[in-house]
Formats: sequence, structure tokens, C-alpha cells
Amino acid sequence: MRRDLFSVIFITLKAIKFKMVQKIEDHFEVLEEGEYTLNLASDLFSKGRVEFRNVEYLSEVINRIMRLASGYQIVKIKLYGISSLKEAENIDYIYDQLLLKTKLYMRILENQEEQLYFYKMALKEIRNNEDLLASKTLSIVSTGTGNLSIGYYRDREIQYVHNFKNGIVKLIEIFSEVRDEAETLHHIILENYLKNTFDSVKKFMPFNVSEILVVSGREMKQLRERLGFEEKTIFEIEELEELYFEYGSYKVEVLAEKLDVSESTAVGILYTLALYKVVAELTESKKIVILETTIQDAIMESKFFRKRDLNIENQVENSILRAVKRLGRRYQYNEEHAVLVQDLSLKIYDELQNLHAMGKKERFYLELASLSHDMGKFVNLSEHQKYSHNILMASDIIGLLRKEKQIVANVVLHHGKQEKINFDGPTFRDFTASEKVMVAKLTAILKIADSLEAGNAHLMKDTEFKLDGKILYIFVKQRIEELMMIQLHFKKSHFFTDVFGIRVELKNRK
Amino acid sequence: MEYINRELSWLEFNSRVLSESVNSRNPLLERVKFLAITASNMDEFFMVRIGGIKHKIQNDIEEVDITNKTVREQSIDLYKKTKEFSKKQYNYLLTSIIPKLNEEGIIFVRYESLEQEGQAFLTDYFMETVYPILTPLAVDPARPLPFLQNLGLNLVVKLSDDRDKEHHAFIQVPGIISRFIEIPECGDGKKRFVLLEELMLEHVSELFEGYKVVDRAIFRITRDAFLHYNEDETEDLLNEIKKSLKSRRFGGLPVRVEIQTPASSVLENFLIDSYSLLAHEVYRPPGFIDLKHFFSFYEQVDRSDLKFSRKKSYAVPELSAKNIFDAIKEKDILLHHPFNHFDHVVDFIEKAANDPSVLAIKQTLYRVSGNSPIIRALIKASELGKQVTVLVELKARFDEERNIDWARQLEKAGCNVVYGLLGLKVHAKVSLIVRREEDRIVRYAHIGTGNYNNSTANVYTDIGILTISRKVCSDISKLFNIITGYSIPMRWESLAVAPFNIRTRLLSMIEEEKKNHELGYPAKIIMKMNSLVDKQTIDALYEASTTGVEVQLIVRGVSCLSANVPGQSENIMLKSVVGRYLEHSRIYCFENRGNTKIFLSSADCMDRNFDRRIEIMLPIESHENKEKIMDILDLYLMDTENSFVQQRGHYESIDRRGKIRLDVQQELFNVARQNFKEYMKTEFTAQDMSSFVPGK
Repeated sequence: MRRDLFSVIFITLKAIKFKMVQKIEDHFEVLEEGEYTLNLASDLFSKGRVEFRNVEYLSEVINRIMRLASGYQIVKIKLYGISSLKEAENIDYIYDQLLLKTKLYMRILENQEEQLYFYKMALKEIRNNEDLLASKTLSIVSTGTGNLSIGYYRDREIQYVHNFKNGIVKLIEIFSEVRDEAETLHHIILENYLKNTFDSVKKFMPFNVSEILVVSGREMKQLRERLGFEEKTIFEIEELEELYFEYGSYKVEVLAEKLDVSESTAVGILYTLALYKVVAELTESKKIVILETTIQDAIMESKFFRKRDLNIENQVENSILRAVKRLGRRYQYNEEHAVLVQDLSLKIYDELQNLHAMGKKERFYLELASLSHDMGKFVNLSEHQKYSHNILMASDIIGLLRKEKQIVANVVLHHGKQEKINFDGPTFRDFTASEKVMVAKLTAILKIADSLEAGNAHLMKDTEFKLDGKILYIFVKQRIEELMMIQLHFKKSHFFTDVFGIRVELKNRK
Repeated sequence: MEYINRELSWLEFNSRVLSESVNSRNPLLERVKFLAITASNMDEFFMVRIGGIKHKIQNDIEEVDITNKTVREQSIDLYKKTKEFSKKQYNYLLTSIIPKLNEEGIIFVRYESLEQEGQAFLTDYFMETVYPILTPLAVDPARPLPFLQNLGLNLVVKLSDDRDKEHHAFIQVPGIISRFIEIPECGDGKKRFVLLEELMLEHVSELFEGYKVVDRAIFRITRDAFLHYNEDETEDLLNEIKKSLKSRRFGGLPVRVEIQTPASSVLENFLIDSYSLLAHEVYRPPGFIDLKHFFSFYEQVDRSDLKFSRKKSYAVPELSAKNIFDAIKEKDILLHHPFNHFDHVVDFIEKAANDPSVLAIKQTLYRVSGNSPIIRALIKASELGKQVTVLVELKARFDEERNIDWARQLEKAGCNVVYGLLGLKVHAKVSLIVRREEDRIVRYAHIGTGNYNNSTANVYTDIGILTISRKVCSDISKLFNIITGYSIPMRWESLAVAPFNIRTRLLSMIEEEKKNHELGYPAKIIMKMNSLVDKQTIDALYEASTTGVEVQLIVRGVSCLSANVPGQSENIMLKSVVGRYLEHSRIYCFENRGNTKIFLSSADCMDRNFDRRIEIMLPIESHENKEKIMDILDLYLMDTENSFVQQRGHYESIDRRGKIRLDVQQELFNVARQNFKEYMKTEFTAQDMSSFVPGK
């Protein structure tokens, strides 16, 4: 089997996209790429299921793509689906039929995954765009088929993201009856709906003012092509507003003819313009930049065909850390304590590297767990671990995937006094054995760091750790009496010893 | 703005072809062949163009052409012009060609002028060979008017019975017997021929025992050529076209009747009434109805001294004695047929078929030759386990039947055959080979302006490229996916593709030249094509011309652009090259401030090519190939022997005074020979010569 040839097939609600590549040294050469038009949105959002004929069609197209792949003797073929597909009542049937007819198992991406890849690509494109680089503040709008997010970018990082459940395709379906009733006013009704939706969010998290609105999406790509603006990427908001007012005055069928697109695409373009108009008003943006990539392209590129970009990875991580801190502040957590626990945890982690053999990703989970472990005290002191866990699981942190969130939340849940972790509990459903072990290790470290710090922040600065044989020495620069006080709080080391097979000893560093 | 009506321009083109039949540079039988070509062209013109106009009139479709003439006005013009044309054809035949044939001892004789021996031979021939296959078709209230085969030659007779009652009958002149019956030589070395229909007329009374033949005439009906099927409503395009083909033989609206003179007005009127023809649709040739038969006459007469000798085409040096894939890997290779072997193209497919490293072959087939080596290679490739995808364009007009046969054969061999694309004719000529090499998959492509037809490749001029360019191969892959799999078009990396963006690309290139000129840069456009009909392109060229851009157009056939109109097209030189080989290549060249942009295309500048066909336009990247193509274009512009210059729609032979005499088609052979000879001299010693493929 040639390892350097593979193919990815990606099902969205509007298209089946595919790419076949061969890996040559450190880059990918595209052999084939294309897309087939599809319309699952209508099934999904109006009926809640994907009709049999569409599943048949999916299978047929996938088989066609596989035949094409066989011409290159490509055997490694991966099939992915967009997150909105999960909303189909008959998703199990779809999995089953695709497997039966194509021998491929479809993996549906998480919504957070999609957003993460999109934002990574957005960050990359921002970096390569002079206009965007020169701006301090941007609002980045990602319109997936079922979801919508608005990210606020400042100082070269995504500061936070608002997430909404209704993407453009969903809105088109929801408003289909309105369109039938109000031929040229339906977009106004949509505008008001969007304003109301954003208003309700504003109370909890205001939309900051930004200079430029950064957008993407299939509809804008099609609009650019139709208008012959393939080379132009930056527009004044007024230009788009003029287009919006003009297009809004036509009936859908007339607009479709004018733009030489299907009626559903015409509605998509109109509603997308409505959305951008509302967001531009909210954020007071003066210009709008249309990114080259759509969310689907971003997923394919980021996940499969690009080298990891460390700068972007770091930017994303910083955004996550910032988001967690913001969450903590919302729940009035003790930031000094959290940061110190974070510092101590990471020192222990680094010292025990050879022992635990975990990587950069796991270190990051520990960081997040350290920062968020006491958020739940806002709700209930004695059961704060449970509430910290719940707060984390309920939050939408851009860049943190569901499984990752579960890992961090489980570490937070078990950082308390209890000596054992119940791996059969509901919070560990779908966890693999190695993931459970990872949680145990990270929890053990957090317990030590937390109890070291507990109420003794002023004492724990400049603590050092040294592993010597079977003992982890913790060197604190304290007097003996204060050391004994620390020892009293230091009751969580049994779990640590169980996990790592080493014991912990405090020492006075002279 | 001044434009030229498309159909009238086409008639001008056919006139240029007709002039070859009286061109003394051409051997005599070649002149006969040119006459046959014009007749074949006219048949197609009547069936397609005039048929189309008649349909519009019948259905009250009010349309105007580019010159703002209504369909009725066009119809009047066309019938007038075609009558003039027909007169010219027969004038040339009777006053120039026949006398010259006589001088060469090739004589057409009448039955009655023959000696007894000759007449006896013919009578025997009639009774033994012709009579048994004749089926007279009587017409009376019990037997309605027969459906006579389109373009078939027929006799009509008026009969009188013993009660003096009149009847009519038709006899189809059989197409399976040679029309030109050669009488055995009588010792003088001359060849004598009698026409089959005249022999039949001589013996017609034998077909109607008990009746008296009181009147007779020879005639032919031409019907329109539309295949009446609705693409949108049919699921099985293949079967629909098969059914329609059947109806084309016998059905269709009559658009012309040719009644050989002398014929009585009574019989004439009978035919006109019977077939619901209009008076202006009647043509009266003085003999030899259906000059197309002179194609077979050309083959029948074994006089090589009166025919062109076969011209040698030459191997492309880069492909000599080298594995074709290795050669293409080194650089893009330009092929110019018939000056270079078409065998290189066949070789490309054949080598791919036999190469175990080749994984897949994709191919478009528009008009293929009978017993095509390419078809055989594709079948073999499939049998050897390669993935073979073939797009057979069923809607290649008048080739539908042949294409159906080949499609079936390919399917049987396991090829993935796709029958065209609903609503769009696939006119692009491309091949793509996917080959697994040591460390990667490599794709090789051939893109050309000519069909994959080794017969026409010897008589048409066409140009193509063999390439390994990643961008080009990637675009071709996308194109096949669109055609075979209905995927939606992605952004093209290198090619321009119709119906998506060839026109916009050309218009933007013309606009660029205009801007360059305004900015003071040298600006020039040279375009070589077969037809120039698209109004947007014409207007863009007019605009460029009025700005001052130099425009040189080599348009073989139809041009709706009117050159040399003051204030409109003074800077446009338009010429047509009509010679031994049918000009077929399309090359578009733009000065681009000195960084010349050159494109090869399967598309002429017609709206049908831009909007209703799948076509390709390929940019030439290699500097070396650009220079070669520029040299080719220069030769066309310098040609004096085959060129006609257009002045406001009228074509005149080029004024040779003060010019070096140059026959471009001959010169291109010289160039190909010279290139090959130089390559042989520089690359190899005398001892090595035996390993090389000489020019065929």
C-alpha cells in the first residue's frame, strides 16, 4: 500500500467535496479535487432527517470518487461529515448505508473542530493579508451550514468567540415559509431576527468595536465569482450594503436569474449579506474582507493537507487560555491561586517528563485544569469540583474540542480530596484506556500543586521540584514551622504515589 | 457597426474552395475532388443552415442575424446566392474540368453515342447487375408518396396505361453500385464512363411492362438534418439518437430539390406539389446531379499522375528514438500535423496502453476514423487492467452512427464510456495518462486542436502539445470529472474552459492589448481560427482596431467581421488560407508588452463554441514552443499561394506583386523536414542512423 497517496471525501450539506493528493517530500501535490452539488439542508432542517434518495445519491457519488481514486491506486480514503449531520434523526441509518454501499466509515466532525480549523485558517490568512495585519481589531464571522460564530480578534489573537446555533443554511430553511408569504420582505424579517438574537447575547458579552469584518463562506465565494471580483478581497461596508439593498428588492427567482445561480443560492447570498450588515452595525466595522477559504476548505486543508504551523497553534492555545481565564473571572475565581497552581503543576509536569512520557498537548490540558479547577466555588464550596466540571462542560471555548474538554473537566472533577477515581462513571463514557490513564496522571499532579498552594500562595513562590530515584523532592524556601503548616494541607500525595509509584517529600531550601 | 451575415460568409468560403477546382496548380483529379468537396459542403449547408432557417420561418420564429436581417430576408438572399454558386459549380465542371478530363483520355459518354459493342455491354450490365436490385415505387391513391432517402438520386417517370390513364412512379438509383460505369476499353487507351442514372433511363420502360413511359426526369431531394430528440426529456441519450438517426434518413423537412435539365415543367410541378416545395427551392443542374459522387470517381480512376503525390510528414526530433514519456518529461513537445507524424499521438496512446506503469487513460473522442488505432489501443489498455475512461461525443453531427459503434466496442472491452454531456457537445480534444513512476504519480497530457482521427490528420492542419505540466494535467482531470461525474467546476489553474471562461479570457486579453496600446506599448493581436462569428469577440476586435491595435486575423471559413471598414476596422487585416490541406488549427496570440501570450484552442470564435460546448484553451508556457508557433503564424501571414484577403466581406486572391512567393503549407513541410535533418546530423553519427525512424 502506498502511504504517500490518499484521499479525503468531505460531506457538507451543500456539497460532497473530495481531494486526492500525493505526498512529495514535505508538501502535498493535488492529483484530483472537485465537488458535487448536494442539498441535504432541506431534508435536515425541515424534516429532521436525510431522505433515502439523498443517502443513495451520497453512496453513488462516493463510489464514483472511489473509482476515480482507484485510477491512481489510492487505497487510503477517509470520509468525513460536517457536524450538522448529527442533527439527522436517522444518522445511524446513514452511517450504516454508507458503510454498506461504500465500505467507508463516515466520521462526523464536531462543531468545535470545524470552528477550530476555520479559525486557524483565518489566522493564517490574516497573517498574509497586509490590510488585516495593519488592523488592530477584527470581527471574524464564520457561517457554517448549521452554526454561526463571531470571533473578536485583537492584538494578533482571537480574544473570544460568540457561538450561535443557526447557520445560514438553517436560517434559509427556517425562513422558507416567511419567503412564501413575504416575497420581498423576508430578508428584513431575518435582519430583525438576527438583531434580537445578538441583543440577547450582548447582555452577557458585549460585541466590541472592530475596524474590519472578516468573513468567509460559500455564498460570498459565489458572489465574488458572479460579480467578477475574484481578485478583490476588501470592500467598504457600504458597497456590500448597496448590493444587499438592491438584491433585497428582487423576488427570489428574479435575483437567481440575475446572478445566474439557483434560487437557494440566491437566498443564501441575500441572507449572508443581511447577516454581515447586522454584524457590521453591531461592531461598527467600516470594511469587510472576504477570505479565500470557506469553512469546508479550511477543514480539509488544516486537517489533512498542511504542515502544522506552530505560530498558529500557539495563537490558538493562547486564545484558549485567555478564554478559560475569562470564564474564571465570570465566576469570580481566585486568579492568583489559579495562576500559581498552574505554575506549580507545570513545574511538576516538566520534572516528571521521563516518568509520565506525556506530550505538549497533555501539558496544555494540565494548564487548563489548573486554571479552572476552583471556578465551581462560586456555586458551592464543598462540591466545587463538581461545579467546576459542569461549568467547563457547559462552556463554548473556541479551539477546545469536546474530548479535550472532557479530559480537562475530568481532571478538575477529581482534583479534590478523594483517593480514587471512578473510571466507570458517566464522565468517562467513550474514554479509551490511555485517556483514562492520562486523566489519572494529570489529576495526580494537579492535586499536589493545589494542595501545595492551598492558602499558601505567598509561601509557594519559587518552589522547585527535583525527582531523585523514587522521591519527588519539593524544595520550598520556608521556615520549618511554615513547612509543617503546608504538610497539614498536603494530604493528596497518596494518589500521586499510587499513580506514579513515587512519593513526595517537602524540603526546606536554604 | 458593419458585420457580415454568417451564411453568406460561408458561401464565400465555399467559393474559395471551389476556386481550387479551377486552380491549375492542382492536379486534375484533385480539382475534381475539390469540386466534390464543395458539393458535400453545400449538401451540409442546405441540411443544416438552410434547414435551420426554414424551421424558424415555419415556426414563426422572429430572429435577426448579426446584420439585422430577418430569417425571411436571409432565406431570400441564401437561395439567390446558392443558385449562383450552383451555376458556378456546373460551369467549372462543364467548361473546365470535363474538357480537361477529355484531354487526359477520361471521357463521359452518352449511351446513344456508343458503338454497338458498348451498348451491348451496358445492356448486359443493366440486366445482370442493376435491374435485379431496382424497385419501382408507383404512386396512386392506394400507394402514397414514398419517403425517398435524403440526398439519394432518383428517377421519376410518368406512365400511361392502355386506357391512357396517367400514373407516376419513382425509382431510386442504387447507391451500392458505382455511379460511373466504365466501359471496356476499345484499344485507344481512353477510359469511357456512362452515368448509372442515364443507363437506367435508357432501360426504364423495361421496368413497367404494359405501360408507356411518357416523361422522365432525374432528381434529388435534400432534407434538413436535425435529429429530433429532446435531450432534457430523455434518459437514454444513446437510444434517442439511434432512433433519430433512423428518421434522418427518410424524414425531415425538404429544403431543396435538384431536377436535372432538361425536364418537363409537368414533372417539375408534380415534384414540387408532391413534396410541398416552394418554387425557389428548385435547382436545375444541367447534368451530373450530386457532384459528391466525384469523390468515388477520384478513387475509381487509377491515374496517380493526376493526383497529389503523398507528402512525407516528419517525426518530431524530440520524439525520435526516445521513450515518449521520457521525452515529454524533458520538455513540452509541439506537434504540427500533417507536417509532423500523427503517429506520435497514436504512439502516445499505444505506449500508454502497453506500459505496465500506466494506471489510467482518459480520452475524448469526437470524430474518429474507421478502424481507429486509438480505439484499439484503448481496448487493449482496458483488457490489460488499466482504468480507461472514454468520452464519446454522440452529437458529432453526421458521425453519430460511427461513434455509437465505437462506444459499444469500448464498453464491451470494459472501458468506462460516457456518452457526452446533456446540453453540451464535448469538443475538446484531450488525452490524459496517469503513470506510476519510481517515487510518485505523474500525469501526461496531449491537448490538440484536431480530432483523434488518423485519416483527417493527414488532410487537416492541426497543432497540439504533449506535456507533463502539473497545472495543465490537474485542469484536465477536473474537466474529466465534470464531464464524466457531473462534479461542479473548480477554479482552473491554467486552462480556460468553455462554457465557463474562454470568451471572458479572450475578451480580457483583447482589452489588455487595447490598454497596452493606450499606454504606449507595442500592441498586436494575431488570431488563427476556422470561424469568427461571436459578436462580443468581433466588437472587442473592432474596438481594439479603432484604438490603434494591429490586428491580424487568419480565418479559414466564416467571418462575420468586416475588415477594412473606415472608422471601424482599418487596422484589421483578415485573410483566409485555403489550400491542399484544410486549415483547422486555432492559435490566439497577444503581444502583451513583449511577453507574448499564445494559446492553442479547440474552440473557434463562435457562440456555440463558447456557450454550448466543452472546449479548452491552453496557454503555451515554453519559450521555445512560443517561438515555433510565432514562426508558424508568420508563415501564414506571408503566404501568397493560398491566401484570400477580405475587404468588407469580399475575398480576393492576395496581391502577389512585390512579394516573395510562399506556399505556407509547402513551407511547413520544408521546415519539418529541415528540423528533422538537422537533428539527425547533430545528434547522431552515420552508424547510429539505422536506429531512427525516418520521415514516412
